[in-house]
Amino acid sequence: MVPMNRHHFFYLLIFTFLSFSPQDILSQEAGIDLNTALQKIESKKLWEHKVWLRLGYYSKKTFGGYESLVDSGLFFNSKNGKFDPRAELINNITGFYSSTISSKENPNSQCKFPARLKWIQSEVGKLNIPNIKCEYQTKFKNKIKAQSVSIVFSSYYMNNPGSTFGHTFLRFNKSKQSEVKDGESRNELLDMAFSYAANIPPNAPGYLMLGGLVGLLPGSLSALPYYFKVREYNDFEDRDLWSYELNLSEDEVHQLVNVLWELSLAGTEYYFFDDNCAYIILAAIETAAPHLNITERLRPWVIPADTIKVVAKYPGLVTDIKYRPSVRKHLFKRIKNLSPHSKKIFDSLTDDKGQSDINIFLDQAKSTEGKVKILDTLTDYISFLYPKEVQVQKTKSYKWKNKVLMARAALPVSSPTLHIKPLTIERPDLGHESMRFGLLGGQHEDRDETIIQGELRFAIHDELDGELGFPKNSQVEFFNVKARYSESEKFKLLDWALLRVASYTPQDFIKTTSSSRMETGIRRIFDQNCDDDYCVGGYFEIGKGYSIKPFTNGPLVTYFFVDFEMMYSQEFLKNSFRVGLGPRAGIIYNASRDLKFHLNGFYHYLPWTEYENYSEAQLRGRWSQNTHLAWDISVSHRYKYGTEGLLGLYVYF
Amino acid sequence: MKKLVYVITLLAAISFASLSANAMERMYGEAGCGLGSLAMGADGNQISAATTNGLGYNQLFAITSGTMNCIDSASASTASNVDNFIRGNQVALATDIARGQGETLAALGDVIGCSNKAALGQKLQKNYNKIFTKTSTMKMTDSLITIIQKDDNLKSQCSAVTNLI
Repeated sequence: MVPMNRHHFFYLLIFTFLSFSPQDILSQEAGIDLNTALQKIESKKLWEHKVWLRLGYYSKKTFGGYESLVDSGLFFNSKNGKFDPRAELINNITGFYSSTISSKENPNSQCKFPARLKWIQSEVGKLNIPNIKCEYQTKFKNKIKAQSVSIVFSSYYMNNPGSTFGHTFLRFNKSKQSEVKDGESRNELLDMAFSYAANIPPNAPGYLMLGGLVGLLPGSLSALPYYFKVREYNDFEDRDLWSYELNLSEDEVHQLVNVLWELSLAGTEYYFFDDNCAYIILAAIETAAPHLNITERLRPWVIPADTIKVVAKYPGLVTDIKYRPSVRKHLFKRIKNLSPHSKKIFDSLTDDKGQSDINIFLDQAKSTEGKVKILDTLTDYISFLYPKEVQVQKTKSYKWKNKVLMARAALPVSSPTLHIKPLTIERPDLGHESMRFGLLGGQHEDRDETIIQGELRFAIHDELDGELGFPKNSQVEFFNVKARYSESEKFKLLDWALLRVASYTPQDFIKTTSSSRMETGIRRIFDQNCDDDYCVGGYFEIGKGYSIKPFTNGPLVTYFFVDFEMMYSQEFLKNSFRVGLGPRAGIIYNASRDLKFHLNGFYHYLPWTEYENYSEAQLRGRWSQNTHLAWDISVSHRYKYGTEGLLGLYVYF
Repeated sequence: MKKLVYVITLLAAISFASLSANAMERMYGEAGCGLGSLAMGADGNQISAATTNGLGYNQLFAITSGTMNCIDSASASTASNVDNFIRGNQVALATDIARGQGETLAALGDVIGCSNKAALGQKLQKNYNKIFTKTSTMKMTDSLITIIQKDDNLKSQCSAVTNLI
């Protein structure tokens, strides 16, 4: 037993006082009864109200009636709630009058659906409902302590097929940026981040991605402190984060927390290009702030970058844009800040890899300030190079870093804050639109005839498109179809790439990054292994290689890949399935942000076929006049098929 | 509902007031708030379990059933708050403490309610070795809190530690 002293007695007094707050008595006296409430919703036909339909994620079905996006029964009080907004509304109201004590396993309706309750009361007036204590909901709200909310975009990540399109999530800010003094940024690490994602088990093999694409996996909402996101994206995956703070009233922010609380109870199917993270987040926002109509500006399929563009272009919606650079950006800034003398010491320390006593090297530094700079750069260097290893105590990298930090801690000064200017050129909302239509015309030299080619791409970017808002030297395309017309061949499909991903990330002097490419779809076969002059086949291609910049900081990137292809066509002369292997090389010339050239060629050896050799070469240039229009010129040569030239324009919309 | 939280906080304060030890030391092996361990992969990798588009079924369960301990942490003690913070941020926190300042260190300051972040940075920098030679998160937390407790000036400036006698 703890002996009671004066303080404890005081606490007890407060405790007793708090248990009888006047609110309890008041709430039981005011408000309308169940019948009146039901009459009111009946006369107002409240179940057809925009906000009620949003609260239940209902959309009109093609042949009449409604259907909710949410599948889980937990999300509805009525058995047929997924299809019946009226029954759901009535059952919700009846539920609110229930006096069942709320528990974890069996929550009271008031605790399950705070957003619905709040909205219904705003429409029909205060309900005379029992005063239920919602322990978990209250804790949830207190943990979030939301003052404002931001949409966060984590930049494109080529190393994981699920992240090539980027990712968006919400962050509830414990204070507003506008309330922070000029030049200072608020500490966001303890804010809560809400993410909607498919439930792909960690370290899942790539094919599960496809499950996410077609909606086989359930999606769910997760709430984590923002620092997990920062560690994961910024530090571990080396991705930048962009935050867009939204202009919502405090009331709307609180209602958004309620909306997410309701959503978190349920799962929805996860379609990568439809009900994905991007869509759900915007739907939740406009449910909480009914004056916004954001989702109607979206296409039926949404990729994360589209959400950011829609939000940024929505009049008056974004109040502040913030950039959080990746670990790579930190390191490069620090290296840039080193004097030539310090850089030399830094280089010898990285060569030594923590074998010798750090102070032997450090003693050559001219000042404490110099030592601090060297050690701080070295710390970031190790963290950038070995993001996984530095987390595990047994590893060499962990020990090396710890050694550096011990030397750093021995210098009793604090490091100056590193300021990195936002790279506006990479801001995701500034990029070109993700759909692209192309119309090109040209000449086939050997056949001496005119070609007209039409193209349509659903998303999102290739290495020749204007680079504003996108990563340089990379390609992420979804559903790109090309067809052409010529006198002799008439109207024919050229290719239809379902997915095409390529990164030509040049080596920097620090990290060896491999480049890779992958594409799959249907395309025309030019290598004469077909019955007919014209035939198509399904293909899968993968390539791995390296890219380098022949001149540091120059505009040229050269690359070399080893390619592997698999192809299936019933029109092949021999077997209907074949494989191929060969080298691919190219040069990308980034003359400017908007003017780019790409020269590339490959040779594929096709064993066990009639014509075992095939090669292709192409030179292509593109000038992006603005984010909506680009001009394209190309010359291609295909083995035995001949040479052709094309000129035309692309429209981004 | 707010009052419930006050009561819990006060009760927590009472039980802490009854503890009177010079150094912060706990029984090891208690689970703490579950989030940190959820996000900790089997190989000790802090974030492998919380990958971009993949979230574990544990988290799904936790959030659907409302058992996620982090939401629960209104009642959790200072120590387990610090445990969680270190579990998620150890790499960046060690870096900041060695540098004597930084965003992650400032966030730790918020977790333990320190008004003077610069003083906290100086003190922890001086004691870097004491904290980061420890092999478990909980031992790091204990030594960190002990360092603050033993500095009367700092202790009075860090509200979550002030109450720990």
